[in-house]
Amino acid sequence: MKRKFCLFLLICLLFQTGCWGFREVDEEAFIMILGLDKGKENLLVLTAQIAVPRGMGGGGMGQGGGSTSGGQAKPTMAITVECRSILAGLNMLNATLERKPSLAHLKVVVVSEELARQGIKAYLTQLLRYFEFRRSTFLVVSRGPAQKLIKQFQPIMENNPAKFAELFMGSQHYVGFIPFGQVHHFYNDLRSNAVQPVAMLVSLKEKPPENIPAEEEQFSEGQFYAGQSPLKGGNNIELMGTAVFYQDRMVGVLNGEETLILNLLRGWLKQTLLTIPDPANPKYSISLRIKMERKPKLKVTLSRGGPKIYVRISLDGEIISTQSSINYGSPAKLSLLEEELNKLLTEKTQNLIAKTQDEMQADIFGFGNKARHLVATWPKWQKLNWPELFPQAQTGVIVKIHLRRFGLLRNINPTGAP
Amino acid sequence: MAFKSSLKELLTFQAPVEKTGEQETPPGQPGQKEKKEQPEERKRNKKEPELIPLSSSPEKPSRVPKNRFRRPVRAAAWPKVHAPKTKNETTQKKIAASLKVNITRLKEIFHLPQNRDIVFRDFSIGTNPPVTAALIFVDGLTDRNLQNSHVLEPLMLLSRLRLDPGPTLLETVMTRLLPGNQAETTDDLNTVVDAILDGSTAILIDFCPKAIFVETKGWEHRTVSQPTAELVIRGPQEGFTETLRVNTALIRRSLHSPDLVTEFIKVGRLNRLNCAVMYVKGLTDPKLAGEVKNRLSHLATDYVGESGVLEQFIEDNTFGFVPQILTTERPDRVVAGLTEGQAALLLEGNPFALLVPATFFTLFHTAEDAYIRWPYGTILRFIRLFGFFMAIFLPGIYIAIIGYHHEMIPTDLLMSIAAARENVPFPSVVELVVMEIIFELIREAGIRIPGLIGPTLSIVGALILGQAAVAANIISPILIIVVAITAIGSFAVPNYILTFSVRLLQFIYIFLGAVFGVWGLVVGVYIQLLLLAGIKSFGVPFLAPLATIKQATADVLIRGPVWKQEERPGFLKPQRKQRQPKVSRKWLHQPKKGSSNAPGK
Repeated sequence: MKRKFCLFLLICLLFQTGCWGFREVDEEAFIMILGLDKGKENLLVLTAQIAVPRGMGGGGMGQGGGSTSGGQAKPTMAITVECRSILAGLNMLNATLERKPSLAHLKVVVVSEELARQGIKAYLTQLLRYFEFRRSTFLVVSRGPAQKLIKQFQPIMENNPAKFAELFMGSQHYVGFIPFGQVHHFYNDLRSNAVQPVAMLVSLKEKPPENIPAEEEQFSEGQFYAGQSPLKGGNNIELMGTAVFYQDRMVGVLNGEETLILNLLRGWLKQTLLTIPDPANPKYSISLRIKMERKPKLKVTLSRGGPKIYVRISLDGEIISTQSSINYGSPAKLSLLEEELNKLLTEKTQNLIAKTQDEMQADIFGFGNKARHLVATWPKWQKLNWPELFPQAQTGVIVKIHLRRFGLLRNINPTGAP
Repeated sequence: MAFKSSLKELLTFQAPVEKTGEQETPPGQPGQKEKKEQPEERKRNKKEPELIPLSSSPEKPSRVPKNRFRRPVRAAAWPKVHAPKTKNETTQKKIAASLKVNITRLKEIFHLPQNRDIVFRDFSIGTNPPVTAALIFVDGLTDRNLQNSHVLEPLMLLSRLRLDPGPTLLETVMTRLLPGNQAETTDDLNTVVDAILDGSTAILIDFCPKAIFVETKGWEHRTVSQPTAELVIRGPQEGFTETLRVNTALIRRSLHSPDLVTEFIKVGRLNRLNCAVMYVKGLTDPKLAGEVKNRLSHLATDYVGESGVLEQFIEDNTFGFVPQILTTERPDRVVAGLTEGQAALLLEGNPFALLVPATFFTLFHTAEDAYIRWPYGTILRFIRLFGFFMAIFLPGIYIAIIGYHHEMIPTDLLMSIAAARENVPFPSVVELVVMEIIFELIREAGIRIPGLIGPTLSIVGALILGQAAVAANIISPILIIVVAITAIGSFAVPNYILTFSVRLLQFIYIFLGAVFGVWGLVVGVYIQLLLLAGIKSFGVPFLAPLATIKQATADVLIRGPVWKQEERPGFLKPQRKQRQPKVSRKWLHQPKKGSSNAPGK
């Protein structure tokens, strides 16, 4: 009897805990994209793009089952509220929404440039503290209002905006015109004063600028900011460039090419396609596939004249297309090309570092982490004040590229003539 | 001499009048056991004369008040306290010298005028002078041709031949007149009765205080055929049959060792089936063999019909979720077990052998694992384990994730689940439980359904329940997938009895998942592991060799190469630990012909 009673008590104990929040999947509204804008009357304008399951996943089912859905529903709907904080806004959503909004499947947080320039810490920490929010969410900065972006954004190939976002932002791995930008990394950089955070730059497609800044009759495909590239057709959204933050305030933008260098320096780049003018004949161009040979070596020293930053980037290249008939497969020509590439990339890297030093005063490359060894204790590090020190730093950049392969043609010149 | 002694016995014999056991056994009766018990019984006689027959077995426990602890009985005293007391055993009887007396007694034992199964055939042995004799057997259990040609014919006809007479008539019959390959004599009436019920033919001869029984078993039986539940592609295709002797022969046929011992123990007080205990002397742990025999011989029940019943009587943990004894219908599996140090039990009239002790991991082994090369065997085992875990946990995990952990589902999948669920009127838990119950129904009905209308069931099950229920928005299609994977997983479990526990546990995990989410599943797994670790099967921890780590070769989760399995599993405590030397493939180290250097060096 006593034993049975004890067992009963133990079972009761089991019921004291647990989740107790059983919720069917069709009782929740999954927010895919959350947009943050500066409000006119209140602090914040919150735009939530909510997935409509029937329009998104139930197409095949509806036909097979002859269900009542009848016709394809729209895959998403967007709701905008003006509110004091994000969670307050989510609460307000329920005034017009029958399901409970859930952030469990949130993929992208879009912050408008206006709000980002004001500082986004207050909004970000709200999300980070909330248990439904996941840090693997992407953080992007929209050049226009986020509300407009979300409302007008319609992926063509994907039904599901979450999948669109994942694939779209995953292009960082093989293009490199956008930085690697999940909230987790952003927040990590935000907390540290040795490195400044960055975010992806996104925009609705705009008219390309009238006069494309051309250098020697060619323009590089990376010299644009989101929304301005000379593209026609496709999705009405563009992702290119970087929003540079100083702490939580946005202080500047980098274009696609500069972002590529940023990716190189931070070790985020897996591979990319680089097109440069042919050194022998600038009318033609050469395309190369670039991979990291090893992680970039960064070194920081401190001398009387201020800090010195040394950068050494080792790259592995493969020529995949040439337009001129010069045989770059021959050792002499190859080293010529390597030299040219080294020069070009060194210049670009130096320019970028100079730009961040002068225009933004933000160390987005993480040189500060390499400077930590200069001091032994935390108070000394704080006293050193790296963010102040970084703009004064002198830089020395070495880029070493090894061209190892020449594509699928044995003789690069198709006609055989040298 | 023989005649004289038989006469003496005839004189001392008293007609059996006991029916209720009330009559006092006369003092001075032969039988040593009785003599020992005599003084005790006499003492009791004086104290409480009315209660003799009942209290002769001290049934004290019934008088002990319920709440008080019973003093445990020592193992040695156990048979005294709980000895089965049936009429046959309490009164051991000797065969009388008079044929008439014997026949009356046997007729009484077999309740003859009513009982038509037992045949008494009177005849006379054709010696000079003729001696009357009788043949007693059970009709249908014996081979009539054998009886006619090898028992009756030599006794009635060939005995006329001039033969050198033996010292007694009995010996003459035994040595010269019975061409049967198995014939024994006994003076115990009970032995004769048992032999007759076993299918032997008993011969009683006048003036002989002994009976002869000749082995003439010949009943209708199934021939050796393919096993039904444990089919393999590679390996022997024989399964056990209902005949005990055939089964033991099947085992012995692939284990040619004089050390293989087959002991017989009768189980069931009423049906008295032969149970064969097989083990390898000098290899099997003698404690294990002793324990098996001990449990069998101290089984006080009237009826043990099937090895499944026997299993329930001798297993350690009767409330456990898992079978603690390995049931198999494959002789090769039994032989493999015997050579590892397990003991085997075979019950008469039963095509399933029991292997003890069983551990959790042996339940996932099949005979084929060892017959195919080791990488394949290993993969098969992992697939089976995967199926087992799927069958137990998948419905629980599904309901936990669907109910509590939406972030764990890929977005696209979540959307299609949500879209499919939108028109379903029931909560997911109800949906899942109903589908699982319906599947159990199909499975149960599938066993009972007559063969001809079997296809109807699959049409009903697959089309109506699967297709139509989804089309009618009663259940969501993803649920059908979950239930189907669960079903397939449970069919991948090689042990038929384990599938039952899987089917049961699955509902418990559905409950835990639905009420507590993944946390509940974790708690459930924890408790289940604790329970499993607590079970012992014939002294061996059930999770051996993993829980309580014991020495074992690579034949637990993975199936290692055959040549690497040098040692027998340590948890079975075999007397010979080594199965093969370190180098079992000695041909690798043979010196080459013509060259002086051995390749090994």
